[in-house]
Amino acid sequence: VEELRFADFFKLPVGPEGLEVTPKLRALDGKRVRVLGYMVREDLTPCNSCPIIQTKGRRPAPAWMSLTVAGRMMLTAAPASVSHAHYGLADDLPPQTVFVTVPDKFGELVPYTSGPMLLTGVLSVGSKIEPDARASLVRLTLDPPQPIAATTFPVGHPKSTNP
Amino acid sequence: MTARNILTKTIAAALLGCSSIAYGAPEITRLTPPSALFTFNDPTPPYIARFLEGQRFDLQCTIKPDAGQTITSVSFSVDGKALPQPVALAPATVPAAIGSTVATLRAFSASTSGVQTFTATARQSDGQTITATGNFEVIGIKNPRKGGATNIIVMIGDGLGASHRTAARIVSRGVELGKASGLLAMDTFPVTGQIMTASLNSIITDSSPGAACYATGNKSNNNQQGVFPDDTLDKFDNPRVELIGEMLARLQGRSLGIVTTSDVFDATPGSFGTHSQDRGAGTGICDQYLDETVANGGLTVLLGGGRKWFLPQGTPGSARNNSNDYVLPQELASGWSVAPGALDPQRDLISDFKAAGFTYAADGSALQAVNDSTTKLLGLFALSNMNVALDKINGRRGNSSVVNDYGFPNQPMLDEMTDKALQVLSKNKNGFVLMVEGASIDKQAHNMDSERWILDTIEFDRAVARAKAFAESRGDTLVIVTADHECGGAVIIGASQVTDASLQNRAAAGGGVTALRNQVVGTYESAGFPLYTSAPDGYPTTMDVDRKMLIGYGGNADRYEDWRTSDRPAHDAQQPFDSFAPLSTYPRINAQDANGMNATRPIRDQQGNFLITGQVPGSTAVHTGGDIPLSALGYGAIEFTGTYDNTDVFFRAMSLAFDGKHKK
Repeated sequence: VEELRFADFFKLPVGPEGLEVTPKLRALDGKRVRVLGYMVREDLTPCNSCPIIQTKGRRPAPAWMSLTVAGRMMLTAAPASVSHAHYGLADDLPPQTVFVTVPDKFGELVPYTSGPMLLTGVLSVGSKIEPDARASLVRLTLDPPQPIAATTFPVGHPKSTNP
Repeated sequence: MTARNILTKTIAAALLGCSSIAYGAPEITRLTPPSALFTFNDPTPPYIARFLEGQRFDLQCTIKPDAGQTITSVSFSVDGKALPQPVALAPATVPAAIGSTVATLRAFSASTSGVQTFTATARQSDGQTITATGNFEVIGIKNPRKGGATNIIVMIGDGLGASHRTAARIVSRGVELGKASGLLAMDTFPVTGQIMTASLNSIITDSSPGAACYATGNKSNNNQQGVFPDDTLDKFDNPRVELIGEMLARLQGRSLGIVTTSDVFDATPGSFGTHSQDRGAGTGICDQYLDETVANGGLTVLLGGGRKWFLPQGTPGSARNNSNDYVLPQELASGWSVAPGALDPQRDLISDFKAAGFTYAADGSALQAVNDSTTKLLGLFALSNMNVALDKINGRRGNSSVVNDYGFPNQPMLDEMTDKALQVLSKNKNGFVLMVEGASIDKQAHNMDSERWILDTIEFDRAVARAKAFAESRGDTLVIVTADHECGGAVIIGASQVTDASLQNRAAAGGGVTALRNQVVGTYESAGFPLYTSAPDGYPTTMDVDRKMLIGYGGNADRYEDWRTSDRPAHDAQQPFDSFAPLSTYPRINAQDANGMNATRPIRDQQGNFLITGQVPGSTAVHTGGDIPLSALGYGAIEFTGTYDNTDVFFRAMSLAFDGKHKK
C-alpha cells in the first residue's frame, strides 16, 4: 500500500492556467493507497428560503438535496464543511478533495464522522463529473469492509489498539 | 420627504392595504423602478430612480392575484402614454411571493427629460384590474454625439475612507511640525467632494450597490449590481439598468477597461460589466464579461485575479459550476439583444477570450511583455484574489514567502496593471471608460490588518499617479478617485510610545491591557509625529518603526492587538491551497472563525493577551455608513465639488462625456 499525501497533488508555483498534477500523484493512478484526512461535513440543515423540487411519487424536497450522493463521502486534508443550502456547488472545497466511494453504503448517505481517518482503497486519477455535478480529480474506492476482529490499524492511528 | 411625511404615508399605505384585503382585490406588491411615489405615495423629491435620456432600463411589477385567480395581462404606460413593447409574465419564485406574477417590460428608454410617472395595469382572470403608479426622473443629454470627456477613469479604493488616506499619507510622505511633508497623488487633485453611500435597502452598503451606483446612476439592494430587486430566485433575470460602459459603447463606440487586485468576479469589477442580484455568482458573472460586455459593452481590458472561473470544470483549480452560472429568460435576451447564456461549466473561458482577440497574460512578466500592438487584454494573475501589496512587495524584496505559499510568486502591482490598461485602451480614438480598483484596502480593513491596508492604499495611490499623468498629458480625460464605502471604521488613534523592540517584548510576555494599551498608546501630543522611510520601490522600508502610528476600528469584531505587522496575512478561504501547509498555518482573526479546520489555526496576535472586544459579531470588521471622500482631476473636474449622493457621480461624469461644455 502506498501513501497518498494531499500536499503532493499539484505543482507549485501555479502555471499559466490551472493547477497541474504532479508526476507523483499521476503514478498512483490505479494503485492501492492509504490516505489520512478528514471527512467533509455536509450540512443538511433545512433551509426555509430554498426552492422545493416536487418529484412524482416522492415527497417534496429542497433542490439542494440532489447535491448529497448516497454511498459517497469527500475527504480533505483538514476539517471542512459545506452548506448545500447556502452555497450549492459554489463552496470553498479545495481542489485537493478526494471523492471516496464507500462500498457498504451504496444506496444510503454516509454518516458524518469527525476526527482524522485513515482510509485504504484503490485510487483513480483523472477528471470526472460526479452525480451531483461536482468535478472530481482524485477518487478512492474503499476496500470492502472487513470483519472487526480482522481489522488492524497502524500504530499511532486514532483507532489503533497499539499505543 | 420628511420623517413625518413618511409616517403619514406609511399609515395611509397600511390603511389602503387593509381596505384592499376587505374587498379582495388583486394587489401590486412591487413596482420597479423603485419610487417613493409607489412606496409612500409621495411624489416629491428626491426621486429614487433616475436615468439619462436614452439610457435603457426595465419596468417591472409583481401582482398578487386573488385566491383562485390568475393574472392574464399587464400593461405599462409612461406619462399616460401606453408602451407598445411586449410585457412578459412569469411566476414569482421567492417564498414570500409564491402565487404572484412578475410582469416585465425590457429595455425601455425615455426620450424626454424631466420627472415622469409610470403606471402598471394588471388584469386578472375574473376581469378585475389593478393599477399602481410610480415615478422616475430623466436627465437630459444636450448633444449626445459630441464628446466632451473622451476618457473617464474611475478609481475606486474599496473601503477607502478619509482615515485610510491620511494613514497612507503619514506613512509614505510623513508629517513634521504639524504639516504634511508631502502629498499623495490623490491629494493633489484640485476638486474634492463628499459622497453619501446608502444603498437601496440599508444605510450600510456593500460593495455591489456601492460601486454599481457609479455605473448605473441608481441604487441597488445590497449584493446586487446593475439591477433592481425582484421577486424571483433567478440570479440573472432582474430588471436591468444600462451600465456606463454599455451606454458609451453603444452610443459613442468607446471602450471599457476593468482592472482590480481582487478576483475579477468580485463586486466592484462585476458592477461595471455585469448584471446580477448575486455578487457571488462567479461563473455567470465571468461568462457575462465575454458574452455581453465584450460583445456589446466595449470591454477590451480585464485584469485581476479569478482564473478559477475561467478554467473548464475538470481542470484542477476550476470553480465553474452550474449553480452560479446563468441562462437568461428568452424575453430578456431578446429585449436587450444579448446572448442568452448557457449552463456550461466545462467552458474554457480563457480560450474563448483568446478567440475573441484577447492577448492573455498569466503573470507580471507576461503583462510587461504585452506590446504596443495589443488591442485587447485579459490578465488573470491568481486563481482567486491576488496577494496584497505588502506581501507582493516583500516577495519582490525577497523578505517573504507569502506569494510563494499562494503559488503565484510573480504578480503585478496595480500601477503596472493600470499602465498596461491605459496603453491598450488609448488606442480607441472614440475614448474609453476605465475602472481601477484597489480591492484589498477593504479586504484588509475587514481583517483589521492595518499595515496591509495601508500598503494597499499606497499601491492604489501609485496607480492614481499613473492615471493622473495620463490625464495631464492629454486634456480630454476625467479622473475620479473615490470609494464605494468606508470599511472598518478605521481611525488614527495616536502612536506608540515605545520602540518596536519593546512592543515585541510586551507581546511575547503576554502583557495584556496594561503593557500593550495603557503603557503603549500615546494620544494627543504623546503621539507626536511617527517617522517612516520609503524604499526605492516606493513602499515603506518597514511598518514596524519605533513609536509607530496606531490604528483603531469603530466597526471592529473581536481582535487581539499587539500593534506589530503580522508576517502572514489572515487566511483566505478562497485560495486553493488554504487548507495545506503552509497556508493551513496562516492565522485566523478571532475565535469566531471556527468553521472546519479554521478552529485549528492560531489566532492572530493572541500571544500578547490584549483582546479588544468587538462591537460587531463575527470574525471581521464591517463597512460603515459615513460619507466618503472623492477627488477629481482633469476635464470638467469642477463638476464634482460639494456633498452629494453616490448616484450623482454617474450623472456628472456622463454629462461630461456627452456635453463638451468645458474647455479642454
